[in-house]
Amino acid sequence: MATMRDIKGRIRSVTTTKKTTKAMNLVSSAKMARARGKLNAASPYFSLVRRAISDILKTDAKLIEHPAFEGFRTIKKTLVVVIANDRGLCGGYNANITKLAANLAVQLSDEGKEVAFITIGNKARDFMRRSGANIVKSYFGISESPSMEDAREIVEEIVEQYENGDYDEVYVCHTQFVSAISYIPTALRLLPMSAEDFKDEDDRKIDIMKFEPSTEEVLSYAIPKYLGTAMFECMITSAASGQGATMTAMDSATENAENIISDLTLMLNRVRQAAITQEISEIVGGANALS
Amino acid sequence: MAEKSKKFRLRIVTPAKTAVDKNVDMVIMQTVDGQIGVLSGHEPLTTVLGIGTLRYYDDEKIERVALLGGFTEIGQTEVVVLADIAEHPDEIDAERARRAEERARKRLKDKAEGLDYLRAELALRKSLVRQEIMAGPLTSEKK
Repeated sequence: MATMRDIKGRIRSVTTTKKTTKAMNLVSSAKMARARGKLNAASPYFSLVRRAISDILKTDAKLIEHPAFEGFRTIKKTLVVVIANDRGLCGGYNANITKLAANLAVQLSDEGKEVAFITIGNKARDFMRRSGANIVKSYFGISESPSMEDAREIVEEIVEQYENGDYDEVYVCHTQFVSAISYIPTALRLLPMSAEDFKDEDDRKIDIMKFEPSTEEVLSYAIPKYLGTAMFECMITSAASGQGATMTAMDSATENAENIISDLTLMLNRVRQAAITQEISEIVGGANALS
Repeated sequence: MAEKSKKFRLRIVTPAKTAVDKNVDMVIMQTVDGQIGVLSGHEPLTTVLGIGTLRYYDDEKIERVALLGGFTEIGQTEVVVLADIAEHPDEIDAERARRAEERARKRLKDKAEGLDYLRAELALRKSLVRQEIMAGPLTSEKK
């Protein structure tokens, strides 16, 4: 039987843990709010860039002779970008996203493609390395609060490699933000682009559209912008859902700590009661023996 | 503008925010090929923007926005400007822009080893646009 001292010690330690998880819960909920704010501020830009591309595609189907669109080469080498958190303590978040990436890799290599990975976030790197993936580059320190510049830099490098023929296909594994407690791990095919990707926009009619300096130049300006935007969107929704996952995990950790504390307090009271009872019976026994 | 012109919707959107969303009379902006003025009923046009000042006329007011790269889609009913960065005059730190100009000029003059010429030139142009917009309307802009 545990002594009162042991139990008191455990209660103290669990209380400290609870304070920590509570604080982490508050911090991540603030960070999530910030990421959501960024997401909301950027979403008009996202949808308008998509719409602009969609409009360009509507004007003239022949335009899709840009190399960023599909149908120009057979796909042999695939690059998968995996976005996860820098840190753990977020429930199954990192595991869910890397599992999706690993399944995608299996599927791709079954199709006879070579697969390489770029990881964003320490945990993405750790998990993917453990599953024996071929990681060509890792970024960290940007998952939590991604900026448009980060996204552009990453995409520029990827586009260059795509143009050089290092890769024929690029996927981005990220999570869509649904709510603080819910996210959907998703694999988005960034390259090659498909005209189908832009079909779901509203059915606006574009009769004639002029392009200056030329259609090619507008398209080769707009496509990298779109890719940077798409990457940024992936990173920012991942950041928001990653913080959401941390928040939920820390919330349930705090709740667990509370349960443990109440169990321990109950146990402490029992032990104290038992000790008192024993003391009384000893005194009574001693008194009886004397009389 | 003697007679009342028809207004159209102007939206200037960046990844960080929606900088402008209002009905205006006219927009003048800097494309890679030179300045372009847009009135209501302009033919649909998509064009790449340079680094420069965008001016829009709303009744008698002239508002100025610094645009640092982007493209614009002029549609039948609205003009959408998708900019990398859009700044109103009151958002610009004049001192910082001036220092940026000095830095860029110095780099271009020194021609240091491994100088990213394009990048320095770009920084210089951005700082100049930022300062130009602070200086207030040019006389040629008066109606």
